[in-house]
Amino acid sequence: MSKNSKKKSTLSLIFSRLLFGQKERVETSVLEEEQVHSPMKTIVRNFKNNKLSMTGLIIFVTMFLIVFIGPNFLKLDLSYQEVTQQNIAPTSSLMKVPSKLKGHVKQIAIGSTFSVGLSDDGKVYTWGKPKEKMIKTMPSQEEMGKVVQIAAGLDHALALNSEGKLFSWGNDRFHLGSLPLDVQGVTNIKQIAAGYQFSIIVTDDGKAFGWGNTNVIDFNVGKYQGQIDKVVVASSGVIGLTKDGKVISLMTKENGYSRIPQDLGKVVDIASTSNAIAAVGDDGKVTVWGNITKNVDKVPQIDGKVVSIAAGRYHFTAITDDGKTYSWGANNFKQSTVPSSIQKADVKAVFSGYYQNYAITKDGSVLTWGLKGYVFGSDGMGRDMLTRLISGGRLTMTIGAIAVIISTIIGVTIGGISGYYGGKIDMFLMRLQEVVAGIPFLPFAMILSAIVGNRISETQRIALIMVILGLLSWPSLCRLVRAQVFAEREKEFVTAAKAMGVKENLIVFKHILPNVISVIIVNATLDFASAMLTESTLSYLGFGVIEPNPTWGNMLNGSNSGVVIQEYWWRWVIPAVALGLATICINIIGDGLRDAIDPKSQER
Amino acid sequence: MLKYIAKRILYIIFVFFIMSIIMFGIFKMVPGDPAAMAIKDVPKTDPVVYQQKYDAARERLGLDKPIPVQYVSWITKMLSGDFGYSESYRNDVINIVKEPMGNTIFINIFNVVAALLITIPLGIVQAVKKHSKFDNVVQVGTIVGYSLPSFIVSLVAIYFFAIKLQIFPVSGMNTPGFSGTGWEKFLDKMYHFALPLIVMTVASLGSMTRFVRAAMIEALSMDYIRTARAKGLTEKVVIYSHAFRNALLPIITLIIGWFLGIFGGSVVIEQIFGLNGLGKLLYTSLQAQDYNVVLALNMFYFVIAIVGNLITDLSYGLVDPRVKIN
Amino acid sequence: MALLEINDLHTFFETKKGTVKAVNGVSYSVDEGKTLGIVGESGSGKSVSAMSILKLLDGNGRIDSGSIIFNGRDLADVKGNDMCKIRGNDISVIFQEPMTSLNPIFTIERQLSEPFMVHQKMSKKEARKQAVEMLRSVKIPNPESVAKQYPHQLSGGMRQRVMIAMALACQPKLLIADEPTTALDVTIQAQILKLMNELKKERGTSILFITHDLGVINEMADDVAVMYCGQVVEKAPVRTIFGKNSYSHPYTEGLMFSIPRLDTPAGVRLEAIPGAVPHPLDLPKGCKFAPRCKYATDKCREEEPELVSIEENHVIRCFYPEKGVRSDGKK
Repeated sequence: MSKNSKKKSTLSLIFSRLLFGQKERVETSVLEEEQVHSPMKTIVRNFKNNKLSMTGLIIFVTMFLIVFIGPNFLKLDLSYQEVTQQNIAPTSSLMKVPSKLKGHVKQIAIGSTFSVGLSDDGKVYTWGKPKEKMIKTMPSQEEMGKVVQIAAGLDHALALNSEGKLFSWGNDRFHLGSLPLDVQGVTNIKQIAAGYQFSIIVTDDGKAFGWGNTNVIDFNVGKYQGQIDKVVVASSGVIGLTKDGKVISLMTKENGYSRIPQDLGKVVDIASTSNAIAAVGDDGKVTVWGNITKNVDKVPQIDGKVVSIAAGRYHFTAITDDGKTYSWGANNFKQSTVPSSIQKADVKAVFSGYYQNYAITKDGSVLTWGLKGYVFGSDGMGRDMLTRLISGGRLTMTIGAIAVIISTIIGVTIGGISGYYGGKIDMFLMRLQEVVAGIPFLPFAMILSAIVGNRISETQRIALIMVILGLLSWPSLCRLVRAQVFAEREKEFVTAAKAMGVKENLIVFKHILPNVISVIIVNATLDFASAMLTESTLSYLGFGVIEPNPTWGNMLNGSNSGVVIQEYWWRWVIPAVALGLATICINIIGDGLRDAIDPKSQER
Repeated sequence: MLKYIAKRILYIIFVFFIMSIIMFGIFKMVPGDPAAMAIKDVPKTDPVVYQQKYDAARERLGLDKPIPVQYVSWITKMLSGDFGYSESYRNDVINIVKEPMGNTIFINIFNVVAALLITIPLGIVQAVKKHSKFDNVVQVGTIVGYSLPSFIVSLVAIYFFAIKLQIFPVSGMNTPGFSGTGWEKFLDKMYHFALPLIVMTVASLGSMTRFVRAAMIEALSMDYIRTARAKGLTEKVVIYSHAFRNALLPIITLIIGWFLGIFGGSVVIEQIFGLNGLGKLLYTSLQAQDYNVVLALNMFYFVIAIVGNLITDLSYGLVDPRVKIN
Repeated sequence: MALLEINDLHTFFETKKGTVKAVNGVSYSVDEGKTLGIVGESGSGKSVSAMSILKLLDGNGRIDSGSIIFNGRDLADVKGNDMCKIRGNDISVIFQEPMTSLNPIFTIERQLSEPFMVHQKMSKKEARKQAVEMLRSVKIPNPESVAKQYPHQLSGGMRQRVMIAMALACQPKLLIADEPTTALDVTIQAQILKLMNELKKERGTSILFITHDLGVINEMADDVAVMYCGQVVEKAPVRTIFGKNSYSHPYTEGLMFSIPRLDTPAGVRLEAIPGAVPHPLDLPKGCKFAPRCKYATDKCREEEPELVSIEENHVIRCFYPEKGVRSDGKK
């Protein structure tokens, strides 16, 4: 008998030798090698030799590090939404001025997702990510002739040519695209302005005409008709500057914009962000008022006299008489952090809008700062996909990991007890296990999440998802551990431990478990992938983690329509690729681990 | 064998008991006070009268009885097919679930049959040609297959087949305003079912193929396979008769869990493709907080689970003589 | 005339780490009606050389060169279905593990009737009748009821009898017995060996008997081939091997001393061969046994010895066959 078992062990030894051989250690004999390497080392070496698993491991670790370290740099603001930035395709060229335009920029007008540039010789250029309609409806250069002034709004643009003719293209809701009758005849246009679905022109003789979404902007020039020099359009208001330097409200109703400070003195320039107005006095002092948000009123210490001012969606940029540039306000895209290269340069003019700034230096070159674009695009709420992808990955992986920890603890405990004690306990626990395994996972999780999840906070809800996943997925591990313990407890070292009087539960957890740990690790790895998948499926259906908390699953939630699938591919392809890649890698790692631990399974 | 069947049936009753307790627990967790709901038309102007009516309603609904009594009356009602009334559909629950149930059972059975017809031969060929190029490619393919959730597969399929190539409709059960004979109607329905069925089948290939392969390799490595070869049996007989019959044992055990997973998973497919199945019904009922429908569906899923378990046990008994004899 | 003649057989296994030369130039022959015993440790290539005859090698194994002449036909060239006609018909095999060598999900009857149906084209009914007859001939009590049973209902010895019945079903000319008794209890072992000897006499079947147990060889074989590391190191009639005062390969000698014998004087310690079988991918240069041989010289470590004929029917692969002379079990 002993001869027989000895023979078997040699056989299996040779078998494993046949499989793995010993490339580097040809000189050591079989037995020596067996003694030199602990099982752990052998596993690590076997795993390392498996190219596919190593690739999977490297990719997964990279993803893991990105999603766990990344959120510290790309902070997620759960309440953040931005209507003007919805569904922008992946790009980093929002501020990429066409090379033909470089050197002779006359003007740059900035829209929500695009910029329009005008060259000294009257040519119009568009770059960034304009909506398709914008490109389609844009008049040709021949049609427009020599253009002298341009303006850009949320999703439309205006151009004025040297003959005083006005062109409008892009979105034509609220008749933006077609010029109103009283504007068509006007030839002496001095200034054109475009805002959030609104267009205004100012004539040489100080008259202003506006058209567009009058529900939001109740444009009314009133008694100032004939005195206007310049107008600026905020998201829900229009402010004008008269020829004698007085700031006036061009609206019927009173609101934040119209509460113009009294002590402005003579004003030389005005600008408006979405919510606030800034005026520059002839003494070079900047005053900000309106609905103050995002620090737009925190005007920095300015050395020198401000001569002109420009504004983006939530920030201001001013230049002084000696060509210095200052920015302040919201800085989420670094739009109010003037790069040092520009601080040093001699700036002639600055064009700001939305999240971009273009500075034209006296030698004609164009310098930019602000939002370059979204590497992975933006979603239906105008949020950066990359930020959400990284934070979502962290949540997805965390939920998966905790769910696996829960299920592993339950599975190992129940499996261990069941396998070790056997008999009636085993019988009962196994039936229990079969019942849990028999529960249709997804519908049941949906029901629990819907019924319980309705009454709890979002954080509790996330915890609930982890617990549901953990509580429903332990049976398979439980069966494996039970079978292993069953086999292990018959072995001699357990009998020896028993004979020495070691307490029974101690035997299970101290003597047997280390021997079944490999099964547990492999299973936990594979379960991790399936927990991530289940969480994603639940979140995708809207019964898992819900907005605004991102997970890879609920990022796909909005992409359930043909329009999104077709037009905004990045909204589903990117999270899908991230999720798929992560689970594929985990499964490959799990498979590789199993092969490394149990060489026989490689044969399978 | 008889004893075995009797034992399994006893066990099934036990499972049903446990599951019904879980369901009852869910039933009790449903938000809202049924007694208050029942007398919602009674004005609260007179608290004494209201309280009287409220107590009467509680008594009528059996809510004043101890929990075990409530459980018994509840389960009796459930078993007699009385699932209550759906507020959102304004109909008895039993009438609402009939059609979706037919659809769900159809797509799931179809899916399982189609997937088995593909995975079993594929797994066998892989096992026989183990470590060949073909095997390695399929192995990587199946890992990818079982790592991708069905909704991603669906989105990709919709993108290519419904939007780009426009071979299949994006969603829905039939062409709007379609009229035709029964046969034409059936064809139109199948045309709408085609893409979801393909997606479901493809999405469920991965794990099963891997399992069939592993079970076949295990079986082919057995000593009795060598014996069979030594007898002079041809390779075909060895593989399909001796090895496959043995590989079938672990496969059968797995099939049912897999089947249940697919049944549950069809929620996703039905939702994405807008198929009128139980999964979609569950989804909309949960959103509408129509808990009577939800409970009936839950009951259905449990029954499927139990029937599935019973079928596995019985087929296991048929295939494995060790169970059949002892 | 030899029924089976293996000449310079090389059987290799391709593994990820290289080619394992499991059988490396083996020659032996089995005469009609005789038994050839092959002895060796695990991994010596004894089973592989026998399995090469019927091409029952694992997936990555192949016959590299050499000939296997059976009844005047070279089996090394026989392919696919032709081999199936020989297996179980002209040559059959009994394996080591009776517990696992029978298919657990088929009845004994079904498994036993397969050879009749395949090779003798019998109907199912006839074959089943024959199967019961075979069970009777291997002395299984109640053959009719055993036939209806499944393997798990039988004991190890009974299963091995079934295996023998299956192997002898088509009256093969050669029976390969690959350690048929290793997994059995000693008493059952004796019964099975007795049965095999009886059947051999009755039917005149030649046997190729593979074992690592010299005691069994002594009982069963007419001739013996000793294998080590894929080579035959000694070949002789059984009497010569077990006879005293005869030349012997140091390995054979080692094997002899490692088994207890009735005539071993009390107090004499059994000697084990030091060291272990070299790894098949890492075979020593020169004589394969040199690292473990107590007589090894530098020549042994550098050059590989050829098989040398010592006397009639006795060959030894050693430079110094005279060193292995035994006298009274003592040196």
